[in-house]
Amino acid sequence: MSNNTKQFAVLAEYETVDEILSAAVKVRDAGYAKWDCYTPMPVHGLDDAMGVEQTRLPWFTLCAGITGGSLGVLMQWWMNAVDYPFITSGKPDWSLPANIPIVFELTILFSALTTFFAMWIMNNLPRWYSPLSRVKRFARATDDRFFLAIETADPLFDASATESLLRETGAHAIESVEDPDESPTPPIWLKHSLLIAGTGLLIPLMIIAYARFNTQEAPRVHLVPDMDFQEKYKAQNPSPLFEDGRAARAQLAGTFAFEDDHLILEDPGYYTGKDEGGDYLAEVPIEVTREFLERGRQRYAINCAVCHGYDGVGDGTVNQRAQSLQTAGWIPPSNLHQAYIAAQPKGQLFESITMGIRNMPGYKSAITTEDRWAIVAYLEALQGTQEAGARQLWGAAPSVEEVSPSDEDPLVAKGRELHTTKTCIACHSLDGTTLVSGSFLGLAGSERKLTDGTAVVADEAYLHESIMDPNAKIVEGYVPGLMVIPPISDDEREALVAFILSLKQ
Amino acid sequence: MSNGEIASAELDNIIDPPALVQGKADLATITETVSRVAEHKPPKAWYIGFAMALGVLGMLGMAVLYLIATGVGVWGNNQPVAWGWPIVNFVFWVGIGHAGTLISAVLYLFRQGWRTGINRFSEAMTIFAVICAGLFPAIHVGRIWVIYWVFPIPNQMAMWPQFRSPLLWDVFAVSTYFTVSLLFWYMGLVPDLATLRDRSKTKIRRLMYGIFALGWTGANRQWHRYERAYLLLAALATPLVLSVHSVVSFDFAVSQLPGWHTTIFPPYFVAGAIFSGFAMVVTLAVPARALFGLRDLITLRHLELMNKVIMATGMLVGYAYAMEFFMAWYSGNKYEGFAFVNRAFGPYAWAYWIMVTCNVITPQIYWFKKARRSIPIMFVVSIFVNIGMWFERFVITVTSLNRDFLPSSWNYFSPTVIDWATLIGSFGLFFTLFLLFCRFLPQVAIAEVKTQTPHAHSHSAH
Amino acid sequence: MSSLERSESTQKYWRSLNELEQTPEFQALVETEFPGGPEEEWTESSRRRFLQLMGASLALGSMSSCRWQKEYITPMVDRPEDWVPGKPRHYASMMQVGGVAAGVVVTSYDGRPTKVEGSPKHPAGAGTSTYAQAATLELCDPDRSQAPCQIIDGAEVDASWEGFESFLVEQLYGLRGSGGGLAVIAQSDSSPAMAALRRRFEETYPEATWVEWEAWSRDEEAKALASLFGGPTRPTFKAEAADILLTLDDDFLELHPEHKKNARGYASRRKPEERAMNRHYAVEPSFSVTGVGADHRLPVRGSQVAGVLLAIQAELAVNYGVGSAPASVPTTGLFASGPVQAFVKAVAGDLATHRGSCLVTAGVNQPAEVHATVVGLNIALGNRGNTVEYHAADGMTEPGTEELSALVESMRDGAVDTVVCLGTNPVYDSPADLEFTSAYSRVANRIHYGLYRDETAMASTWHVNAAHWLEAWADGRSWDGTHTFAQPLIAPLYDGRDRYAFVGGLIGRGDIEAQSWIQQQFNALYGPDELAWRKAIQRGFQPGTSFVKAGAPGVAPALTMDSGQLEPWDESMPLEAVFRLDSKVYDGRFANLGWLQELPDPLTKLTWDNAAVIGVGTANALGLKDHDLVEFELNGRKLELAVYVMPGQAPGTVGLPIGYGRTTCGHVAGLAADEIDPVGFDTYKLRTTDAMAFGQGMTVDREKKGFYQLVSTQDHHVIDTTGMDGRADRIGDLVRSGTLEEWRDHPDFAQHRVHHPPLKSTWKEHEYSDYKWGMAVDLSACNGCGACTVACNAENNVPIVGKDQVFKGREMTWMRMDRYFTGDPENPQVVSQPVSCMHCENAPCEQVCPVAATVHSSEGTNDMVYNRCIGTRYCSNNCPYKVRRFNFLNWNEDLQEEDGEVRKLSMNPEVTVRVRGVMEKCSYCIQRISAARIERHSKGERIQDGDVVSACQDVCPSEAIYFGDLNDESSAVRKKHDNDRAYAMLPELNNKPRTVYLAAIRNLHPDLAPAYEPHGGHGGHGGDGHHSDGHSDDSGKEVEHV
Repeated sequence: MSNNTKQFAVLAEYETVDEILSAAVKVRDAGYAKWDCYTPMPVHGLDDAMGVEQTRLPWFTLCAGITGGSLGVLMQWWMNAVDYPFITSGKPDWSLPANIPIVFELTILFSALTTFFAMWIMNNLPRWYSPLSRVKRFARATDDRFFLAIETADPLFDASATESLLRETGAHAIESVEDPDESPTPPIWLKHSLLIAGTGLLIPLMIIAYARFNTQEAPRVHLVPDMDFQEKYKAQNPSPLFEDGRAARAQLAGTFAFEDDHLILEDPGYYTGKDEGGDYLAEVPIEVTREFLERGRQRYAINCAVCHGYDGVGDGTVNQRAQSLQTAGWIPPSNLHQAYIAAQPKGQLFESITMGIRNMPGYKSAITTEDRWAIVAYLEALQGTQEAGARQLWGAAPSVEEVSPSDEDPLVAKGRELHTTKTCIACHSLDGTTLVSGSFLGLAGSERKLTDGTAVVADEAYLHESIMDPNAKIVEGYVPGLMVIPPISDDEREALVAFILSLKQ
Repeated sequence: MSNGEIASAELDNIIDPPALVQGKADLATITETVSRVAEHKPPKAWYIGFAMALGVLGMLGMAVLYLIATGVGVWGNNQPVAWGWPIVNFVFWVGIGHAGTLISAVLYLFRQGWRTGINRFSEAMTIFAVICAGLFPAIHVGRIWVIYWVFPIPNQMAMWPQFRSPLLWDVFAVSTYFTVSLLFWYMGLVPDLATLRDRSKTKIRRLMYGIFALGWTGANRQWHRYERAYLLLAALATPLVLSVHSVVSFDFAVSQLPGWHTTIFPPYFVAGAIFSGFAMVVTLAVPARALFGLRDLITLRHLELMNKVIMATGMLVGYAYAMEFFMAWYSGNKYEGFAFVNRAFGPYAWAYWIMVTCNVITPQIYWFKKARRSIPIMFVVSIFVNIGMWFERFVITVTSLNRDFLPSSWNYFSPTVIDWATLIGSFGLFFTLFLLFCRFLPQVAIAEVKTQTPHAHSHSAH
Repeated sequence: MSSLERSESTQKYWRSLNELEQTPEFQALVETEFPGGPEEEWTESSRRRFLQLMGASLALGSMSSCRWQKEYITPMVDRPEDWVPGKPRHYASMMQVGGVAAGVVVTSYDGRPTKVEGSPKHPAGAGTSTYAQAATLELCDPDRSQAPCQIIDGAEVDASWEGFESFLVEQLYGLRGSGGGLAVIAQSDSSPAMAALRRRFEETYPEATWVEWEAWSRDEEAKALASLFGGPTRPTFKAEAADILLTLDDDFLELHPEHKKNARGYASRRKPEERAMNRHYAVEPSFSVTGVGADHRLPVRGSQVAGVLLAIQAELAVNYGVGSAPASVPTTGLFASGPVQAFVKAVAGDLATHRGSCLVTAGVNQPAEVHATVVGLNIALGNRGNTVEYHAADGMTEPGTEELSALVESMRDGAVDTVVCLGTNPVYDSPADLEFTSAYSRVANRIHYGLYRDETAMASTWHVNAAHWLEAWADGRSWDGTHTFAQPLIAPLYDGRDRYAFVGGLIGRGDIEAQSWIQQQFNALYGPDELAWRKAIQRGFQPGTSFVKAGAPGVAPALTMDSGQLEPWDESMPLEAVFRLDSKVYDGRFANLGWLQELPDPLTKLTWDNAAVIGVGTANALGLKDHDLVEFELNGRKLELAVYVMPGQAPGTVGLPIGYGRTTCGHVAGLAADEIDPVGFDTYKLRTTDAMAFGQGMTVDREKKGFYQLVSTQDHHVIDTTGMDGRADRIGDLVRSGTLEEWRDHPDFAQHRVHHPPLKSTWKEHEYSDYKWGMAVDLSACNGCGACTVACNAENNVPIVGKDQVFKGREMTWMRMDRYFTGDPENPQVVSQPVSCMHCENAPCEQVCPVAATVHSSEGTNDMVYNRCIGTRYCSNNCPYKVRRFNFLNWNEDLQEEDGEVRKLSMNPEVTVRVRGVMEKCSYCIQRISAARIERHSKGERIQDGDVVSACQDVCPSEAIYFGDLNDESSAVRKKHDNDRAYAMLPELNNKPRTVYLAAIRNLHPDLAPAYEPHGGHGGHGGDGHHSDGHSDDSGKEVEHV
């Protein structure tokens, strides 16, 4: 503590209420402003004697009460009637009577808190230090003595005049109150503990903020699982009971649910697309109505269009994306307007959808039987909007390339069929267009530039080799590994090669 | 004052009262009498009592842990008695928690000077009783870990509380009551803490009391605002104290259960709360004044006045009991009628008659002045009233639930060991807090008592 | 002036004579403060029984991991066509109990059976029993036997199917060609394929014995009909065509193989506005579900039923010229009494005036002579072809005790060295006088094939585990003969074998495989047609295969009556033991299924126990009361039994339900090896070959009385006078009933039982313009069987809580069956009332929930939001019907244990498995509403009436429950709501329940009931419901009948 002190006030001590009251009157009448009486209990009449004005505290209380009440009404109205209304006991969303208790409580709560805190603030409390406490006798101010202190800061203060005024009031003792230049401050440990406590209060908030924004991959902390995980198996749940780890069990062979009409095979054509003889059905076995076609259009748009495109030409968004990424091994979806598809019997289309074809998966588990037929029916209509399909629909003459000449070599004819059935057609067109790979039209006999710089003529041996080992010779502009080795027999390969050779220009 | 009249605290003021502070009543003595309790080692009895209270509190802790870990099934609650002892205990403690604020606030507004001897004491009791009360609704819910859903704070379900529920009113009422009571109590404590600060001999005491005294110096300009604030808080607390038990009674009255669904409940509950609260104050004050040498501050006159209030509210409660029966009969509602016949003559008749004996008959002894001023009698009577009031809540809660509309769902409720442990344990919590209060804080409002002495008043006309 | 005015037409309701007479013991019990019962005595065993279910552990749920569990999706690699994950599929199948097949439809969720319901298209009736409802629980019972085992000197030796097969090779196949010393004790089986297999067996082992054994059999009826018609013959009833029914000790609505068909037909005649009401007379010793519905019931000893029949026969012959008069007519003793004579006269008169449209049936317990007489009577009354038909049930057998007795004799003689128990449990359930166990132990090779390692399994040398019927192929014949098929819903969980493969193994034909074997037999019967086969499997039965009508019967031998049986019972006479099939555990085979154990008995409301049920007067005379544990003696065999006093039990009889007291069954029913006490008492110990149904000369040791806590769901504790008065005062308001005359006079009489001021809310109420779900329960049709409770348990994952928790009043059943007695304690009437959540429009539970965990949906259902519930239980307090159920403890804790994993399979995935601390209640099967909505709305349609069938509605044999959209003018439920008989429970609370009840109507015979006095002043007060005349005085009389 600094030794430099300056006078803060003059303190006078009194023993009775009467003494302090009369002293206060005198000091008040002397016109002092910065002075106060200190008593162990509130003394009635002292306010008048000192000339203390009525505090404005009640107004704060009133305002706070109004605020609390209004907030109470607003909160309940907004929460129950606006933000998340629900039907409760058939009552209206908003009804004041039920809200009155809480409005009342909030009014009181706000008023009380405001009164409490406003009083301390107006009293300049809490305060760590008062210069008066340096005076030893002042400790009795909270016990049995009455004090009156006039501060030096008062404009009327004059060391000697003030002291003599106080003497006149009959003070039992008068003492000068000294105040050091530097006021004492709370000890450093107290400050630190307050700081730590304050920070501690922020920890929950920090945890919340951390939880809100962290990107950690570990699952969130979840102390009480309650009903988030239940003792039951929902669809596709795992289970430790079974070897395959699945709770879902396969249907047992030979059992038939009511939903299993397709396994009963009462009407095999409907479920397989084939008649009893094993031939594909030529037509959709359901009456095709406008609604049925509309259903087909919907199902097509949902299940098929992502690959085949809305118009069926095979430019769905999946294909576009795959092409743009130049995905190796991507087999583009078929253009459904190709003649060979348009020429297929409906049963075959149905089977393709059901069982899948090439890299297209079967949709039997995803689309109901009836919906699959609806798609087939819609497909026919869709194809009708395009040339190949139009020919099918309206009987126009097919073009030369699409139908094998009647006098064709049987081996070549077989190759032509294999070209379609073994799915070569997905990548190798017959009309010169480049699909995934080169067209077979005019391939035979042409010279192929290979990636190793050499060139080779596409002769019969080359064709055989390319089918058996597609990566043996890679033509410039193509990547190895793209072509899948087709599962065909030697005879079939012979036929294919013969067919490709027949396309020599 | 004639015995024939209904005892009223107000009437008392008209007649010249005996001094509220007896013995050597100068300011320094008052300071010394109260402060020395906090400044000196307490009597042996305090240590024994505190050790026992801590032990019982430990039992409460174990019971609550077991409860939370296992489920509310560890209690005797069942269908249809979905609310059993925990709610009985809650209402019981909330009732007890009424005396303090009532003595502080209502009597303050009525300028009842005699309140100063006991208000600190009873306010502390209020705070601790409300803490005990608050424990029960919290632990009685099935999933305590999501209990914060009753507060209107945003949660993961984006749902808000349902403000039509009396339970929610309860949440607001009890928490507001607790907050306001705490503020009120603390505000009254500040000048006395300053006294203790100024008397303290050791640095640590000076620091601890100093921090909580907030730098109070007793300046009159502060006293002025302080008194105004005290008056405001008293004015706010008075309707609050009446509302809290009314709201607690809504838990019952708003439902449609026969025996609960009555409009008499709010005033009846408030009267009962004052009744039980005053009884608890007497129960605590009698040993405390002997133990801590406060006989001169908490005088026989204080106790007698409280006994008069007990007798008056006891008769109010008795009137309510009678009125309930009358209404049940007069309504002509057979379910309502049965609920009350069942109370008096059904399987829980014993509880009902314990209640009537303790609450209505026992306080009648206070018609005799001798009894009103007899320490042993008033101690026994106050304990009887406490027991009776616990049974009142038991009767309301359990007997009404155990037989409602459909006889097929009638069932008997029996408490379990854990029920007992939580009830007894709550007393451990209460007494632990209360004994700590007695040890470290001024049990009597020093500054306020001083205002009641001649030394606080001007003797010259001005 | 009272604002509520009620008629005083309430009847005095009570439970037992204790209550009525206020005995000192009773008073003492009532006055005990907090009567807790001897809780500690059985808490320990109960704990173990539920695998520490009661929360002894201090772990908070499954707090093992404090992080959110990782979830995995495990789709099927090759998903079958039209198989949508999580979309239930439905398979027709078959459940066979007691040699009679019942067609069922099993719901399969992702290839797991989760619910069994009746097959609506099956010709034998669209029904399931309570047993079938619990089948999924049985399938997933961790106590099921999980592997074959060899038992050497009482110790289980782990073995395998290979081990068993090598045993067969060594020990059995050597006998092929002879089969001497080989015997099979098989369950009764109606399977044609099994019959074919049995022929193979007999070819392989020509000298072997094949005995059928059922502890509960219809053999007396079969004997009588076989001798009359010259071959196996079965009667079928058309209860819907019967104006007058006389059931002689016959629970044909509950325990008959065709109970559902019977109940449907019967109930269709109990709804007076639909068809003219029938009148039902029941004569029985023990109260049965059938007796509940009866308009007049005559409690007589089992052996006196024949006397009643004789008296009626005589009355008919003498006064009405129907049939021929019997030689001896009982006229003394009981039959000299006025009420019995009046009863006989009334019945005979009614039967005679309804020739061709009445029906007389006799129950299983009655001797063959009674059955023969009943056949004669029905034919004489012209009922054959109208209300009853007799069918030639070729090949169908009903095992009696003779064959088993003979076998046990030769076992004891040492003539048998290999016994195969094919699904049977004779060690437990064979007649006590056979001393089966000792005879069995003399057999060298004892092979047991069954679902559980039960009493017989543990007394055998080999036990092999059977496949559950949900895991196996099977066929069988329903009661009417329809060839019914079972297809497996899931591969055997524990590699159990179906009985075809097992019997195939016995004859060394390891290649016999159920599916192909049954198909072979199918082809043999109906021609090889793959399509027909597939359709039959899908449909579940082969149509047109019911039995053909039997020919004309011979003449029934004259019924005689032991005159010693005529006297009314008094204290000096010994008692008559009446063995009863239990509607919960059957003959004991379903004892390990908790749902059934916790299901309250329809009449006694006892759970987790059976008891010696005695009548009120009998108990009084013997000084016995509820919970007394006393020793009964029958033919020198003694057994300690707890006593339950039951109004309506015939004087001098002791009702003894069989099927309890299992000592080696499982952790639910009792397992001595794990120190788990049996549930209930093993009454088989008193049942002997000469007393399979009734045993005369039973005595009771009244001196030595112990205490045994029986636990029932309804009368949790005894009721004092105050409670009785209060109950008597109000039941008539809650369960409204009236006579047919009253109904004719005032069809809306039920709506005027309680008068109250007009119900008006002070606010504008919510309107439900879209769907408006509602339920109606016809109390006239409900017989209180309790099937709805089990169906609800199965559908909604309702947990079981155990006996001590039921005792505390914490049972969880969402659908409870309230039953009250009225009238004479010796011969009361019973009213049953199913109560579940009423889905009140102004639901009182909702407004008191602080967290909005129970709110109304836009379709008007009162929804419980489990994950929002914090468990204040305030809603339950405020529910006037007390239908809410609280999870006081974690009832599903055992599911988290290792054994629980398999039980998770049976849980309905569409319904939340609740944890402790949350409230729950009936949801109107909201998951079914949602399923129907998805189905319909995806097609742009509205839900149609009949799309949503609640689980309780589906199972109800009496079609007493209606559910649907109240906004749909044409819906059945709307029509019921608009019905005159409809009333809401406690309407004066202005809760507006969505479930209404239709008042019960009794069609009383004028001579047996007090004359009906029409009420005055009922006419003109509809609208405001306020009514102030003094009619309440006169209406008090109508109920003091019987």
